[in-house]
Amino acid sequence: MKTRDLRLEIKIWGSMLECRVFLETDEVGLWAYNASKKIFFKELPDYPIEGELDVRMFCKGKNGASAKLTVKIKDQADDSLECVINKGNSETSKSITIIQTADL
Amino acid sequence: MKKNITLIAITILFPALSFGQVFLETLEGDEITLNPIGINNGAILGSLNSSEQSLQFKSVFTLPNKNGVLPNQFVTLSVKGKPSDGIATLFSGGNFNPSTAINLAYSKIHLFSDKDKADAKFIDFFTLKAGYNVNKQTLFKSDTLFKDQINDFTFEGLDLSFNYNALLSGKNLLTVSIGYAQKNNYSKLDKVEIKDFATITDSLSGTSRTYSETINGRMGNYKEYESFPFRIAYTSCPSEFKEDENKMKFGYTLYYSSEFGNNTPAHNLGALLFLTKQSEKTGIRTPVIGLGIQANDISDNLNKGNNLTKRVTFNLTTTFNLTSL
Repeated sequence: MKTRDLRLEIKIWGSMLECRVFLETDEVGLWAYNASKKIFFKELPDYPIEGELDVRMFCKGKNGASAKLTVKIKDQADDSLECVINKGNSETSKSITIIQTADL
Repeated sequence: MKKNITLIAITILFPALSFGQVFLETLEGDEITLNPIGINNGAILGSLNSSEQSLQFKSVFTLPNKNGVLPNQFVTLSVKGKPSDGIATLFSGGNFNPSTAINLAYSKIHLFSDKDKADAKFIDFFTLKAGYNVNKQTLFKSDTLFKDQINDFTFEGLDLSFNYNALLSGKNLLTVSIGYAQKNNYSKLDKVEIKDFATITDSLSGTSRTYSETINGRMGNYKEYESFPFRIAYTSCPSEFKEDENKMKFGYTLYYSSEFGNNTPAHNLGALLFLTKQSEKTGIRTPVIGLGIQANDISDNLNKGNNLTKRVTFNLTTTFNLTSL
């Protein structure tokens, strides 16, 4: 199993009551907030990944509110997911392919 | 009863950070809905209520959340100050007559709603609030000894409330609020302006000089009582889609409120129409101005004997944000 340094960033738009993020089946909690960029973020160094990284997010709040999650994996391009609330909720998921880096 | 053209307040707090709050208040400054949709850091938020002429400062603190991105527990501390009898009487007869209320509240997302159900159209949140208010007031009794006619006193009251909010399908906000409050009927008594005249005569010139001191107070059958305020409200919340961010949208609230307890309950019905503007930074749509109408004591329980149309009040308010973090 490989490990990678991950950084998750979320930008919230609108009146969001709840936003939850899952990597594989584990929920990501205790997010920090960057007041100048107005984003929530979470650093996950040496995160174990087997095969693809399954990311899932769901949100609840007022219609029109949205959350954009950016998954930053070291040594590869960022990936993103977005939820836009309609009828009170929104859910999205994605399987991110991990690019194999050359072993030194 | 005098024809009242007063204003019912919509007090709207503009969020300092990523999230919004919509607070609606009655004439007396009691909050109808209290829904801290999320404040990331502490923010000092201010609001003005034109009807009760009060100024309020709120500071909201969030508690860390082990699950979820956003905080789901909040502690709010607020201090409200107002003159006991209106701005004009803040200083009266050489006395400073303020009323001050301090409130501490705990709010949490999810009471009955299922936090793990991703496709749930229903999410709820509640607030438990405890408050303490101190009011310097003046009563005038014309039917007693002259030296005892003016009574300056301080009324202290405790109030507790439970406020429940349910957001359905991202648009329909239902609010129920029940509470306990120690109150008096001072604000419902007749206003009176007391003038004491004194005359000084100058023995040399023979000139008499008269001067007066004005004291503002109330007169009538003063009572202290325990009450159980109750409110139920429905708010239609305008959507916050990004493509509409330059548009101003209307929202509205309909509510019923009453006070049960030792005194005769008066049933009030109200409606609030507010215009919202969406923040280009946060995307939160908050009311910028609102107009309210309230029909007081619809069943004339207080037996004022007047027409319902004379018990209709109007209100207009706006709010301001003190900090931007």
